[in-house]
Amino acid sequence: MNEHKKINELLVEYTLGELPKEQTSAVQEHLEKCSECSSEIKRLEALLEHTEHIRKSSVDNQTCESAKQAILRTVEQEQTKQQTSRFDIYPEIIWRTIMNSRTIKFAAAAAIIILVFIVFHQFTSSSIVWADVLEKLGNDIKSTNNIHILFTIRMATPQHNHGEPIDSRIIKGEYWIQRNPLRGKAVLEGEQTNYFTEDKFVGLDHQDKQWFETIIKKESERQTLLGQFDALVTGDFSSYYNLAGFKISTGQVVGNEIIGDEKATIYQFTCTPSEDMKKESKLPIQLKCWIRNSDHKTVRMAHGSPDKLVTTYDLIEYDVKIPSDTFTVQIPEGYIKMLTPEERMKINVPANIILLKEAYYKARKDLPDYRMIVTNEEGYVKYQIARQGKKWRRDSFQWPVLKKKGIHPDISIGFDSFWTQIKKISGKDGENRESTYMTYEDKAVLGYWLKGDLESIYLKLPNYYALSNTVDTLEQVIWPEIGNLDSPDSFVTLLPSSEKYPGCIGIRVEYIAGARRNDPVAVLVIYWVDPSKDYMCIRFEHHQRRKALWEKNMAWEPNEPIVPFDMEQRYNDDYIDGRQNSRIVEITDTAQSPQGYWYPTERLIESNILNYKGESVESPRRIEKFYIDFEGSIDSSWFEWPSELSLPIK
Amino acid sequence: MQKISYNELIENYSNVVLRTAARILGNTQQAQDVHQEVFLEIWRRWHKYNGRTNWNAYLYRATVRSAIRFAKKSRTGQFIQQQPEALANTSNPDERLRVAELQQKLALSLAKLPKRQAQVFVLSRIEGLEHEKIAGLLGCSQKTVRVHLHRAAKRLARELSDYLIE
Repeated sequence: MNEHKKINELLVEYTLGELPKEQTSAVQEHLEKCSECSSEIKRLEALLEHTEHIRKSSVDNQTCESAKQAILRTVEQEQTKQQTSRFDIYPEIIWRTIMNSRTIKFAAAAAIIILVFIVFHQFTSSSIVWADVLEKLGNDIKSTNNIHILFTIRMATPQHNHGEPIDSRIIKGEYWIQRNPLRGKAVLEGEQTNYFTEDKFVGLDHQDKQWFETIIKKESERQTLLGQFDALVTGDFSSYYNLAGFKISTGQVVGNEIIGDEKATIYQFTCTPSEDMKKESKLPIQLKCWIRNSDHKTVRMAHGSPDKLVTTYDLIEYDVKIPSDTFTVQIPEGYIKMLTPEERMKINVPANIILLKEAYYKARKDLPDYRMIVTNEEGYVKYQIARQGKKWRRDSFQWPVLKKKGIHPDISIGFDSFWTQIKKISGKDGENRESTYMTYEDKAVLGYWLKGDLESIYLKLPNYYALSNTVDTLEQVIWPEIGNLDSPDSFVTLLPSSEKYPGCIGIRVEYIAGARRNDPVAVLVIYWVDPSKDYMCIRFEHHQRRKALWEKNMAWEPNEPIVPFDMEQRYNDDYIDGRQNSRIVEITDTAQSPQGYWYPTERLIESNILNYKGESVESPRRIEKFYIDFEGSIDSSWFEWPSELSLPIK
Repeated sequence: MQKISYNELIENYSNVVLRTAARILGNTQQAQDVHQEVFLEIWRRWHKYNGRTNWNAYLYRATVRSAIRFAKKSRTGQFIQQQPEALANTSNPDERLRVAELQQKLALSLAKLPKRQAQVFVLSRIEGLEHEKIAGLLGCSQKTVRVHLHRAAKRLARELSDYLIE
């Protein structure tokens, strides 16, 4: 960093008088010879002077009093209104809500599970933190006959993070893929609920992994209990309490299993819908749940008819505390099906994000050349990791030409081939760092990453998007009613038709992705919506702004050449984002909340593994997400309500 | 944390909310609207309140957020007509106009900032709170506060340059 840049970074502190003497004189010296910094100082001083003016302003007592009276009057009116209408309307509304929503009907199961589990918990006096499990089960039930994936990402930045602030976050996400019985094909629906615990862990002088994770875990539990998350709660779970419709058996230990290096105890529970619920849903539903007790605790779940499991998958990292191996529960006539390792490897649904922990164990222990196949019902993905000695080398990825064969029309993006790369970056601070990405025609379309210690492999399959209604015009798309919390200045415009995507509606979105190099980065994403499909099909083009242009003007120039996102070019300093970190761009998906809101989401994920005292320490990982704000169509204050008021289970 | 009644909440915090909103928006009428919105929303969820909310922190956040949203909504419609009261004593009409315009633009620019940056800037420069206090209110470190303040100030100064330097 040259002197100008260094000094420029100090200007705000200088103006605020917060700089130590040494730096103050350095700044003053620089200001004498640098006109750019001088004028910036003037602007800063003028700004701060103006805010001083504002600070002096006050509101007179009369106005305060009248505001108080006004709110009290309004509250009184609302109270009266509610009292008169509550008893007439509520039952009808509740019933209508239940009957009109398949989701809520299925949510009935959550209530039963919750009740049974809680009662069960009382009788067994175990110390299992059932609330954690049940909350997730409750969420899961609402998508019965779907695949439903929950994931938790815990992350924190290290002390030295390229000038970025230290923060930590816990992000919980969920996605589900719904099999629509009317159309006979699977559609992706999803929702992501993020919990942030920002800036909770400061002063990480010693990045001891164990300490670090313990602190995060403790903090997480505390936050859950006290409900102090800045929660972005995307559903009103309170309705789950009073619903019914499913029968659930209690669970039992069905065996032990060695998974990798770990001994796991498998518990199983079975849940079946009542006759009424079956009639309503027209689908036999069964829920099975395995809780695997090990160092890496997971819950495995399966949905399907009593005779056949439709989906099986892992819900990851539940942190379930199971007191001992003697913990037992009972099940009457259980539909017990233990999955063999081979079966586990076959993920028979097009999951969006799948944790394939077993792959790690296999790869680490047994196989010098490991191959794993992930299938969906009609097509398959072949995924291969090869390694030589302790080093990973390039792998390969094949995807059948589904679109050409026409056997999987739901996958709206047909891929002929991929290439991908696993990089092993050596160096003082990059020891054991692994990064990888996949591109398709210079666009990042598929990504996964390997943690440095290779504890898990995340595989992200191509996205496809669906909308339950036919979309003829853009106006018919239910656009997201969600605030653009991180990036208030998103600009959305329609594009003229393109030869590349004939008949599609183009949507151009500019947004500020967040802070990098102490400044936000402008990102441009283009969506193409195909109105001829009975689902919403979106193609992503992802562009980032070149640094040279960026410095002149924050906004995109009208005729600015679009620079395709290029993973190689990111190391070029012409790019604002050209950092030397390993990084992966995940282009995720549109998601639809149970309320029917759609919101395209994107996440940029950076991962980095540092070597600390001989151990691989996962340190900086930033996730930046954005929601597209369509002219403030939602009251974003809804999202910041303290979660203590809305958590479903305490 | 002691559980308080809704009336007590209004009694204790009404002035803070109104004052903060007025400073951001430069307009007491709009500040009253924000005040109404913030407290009405709380009342609608009051039955879920269990006594653990840090109202000081929550109300600061909610007020700043609500006021900024208000400013954003006003971007295309009518905006501040009333001059900030802080300027009442300024004798020069041109200066009054310039400062009033600057305050409008500041509110709009705040709306463009990332939420946390805007919050930190308002709490620090407009409310005059110490870094430590802000860190407590927003649940972050003082260092983070400084970083956000740094970024917010630089960006605001850049965006408002036409109004800041004559």
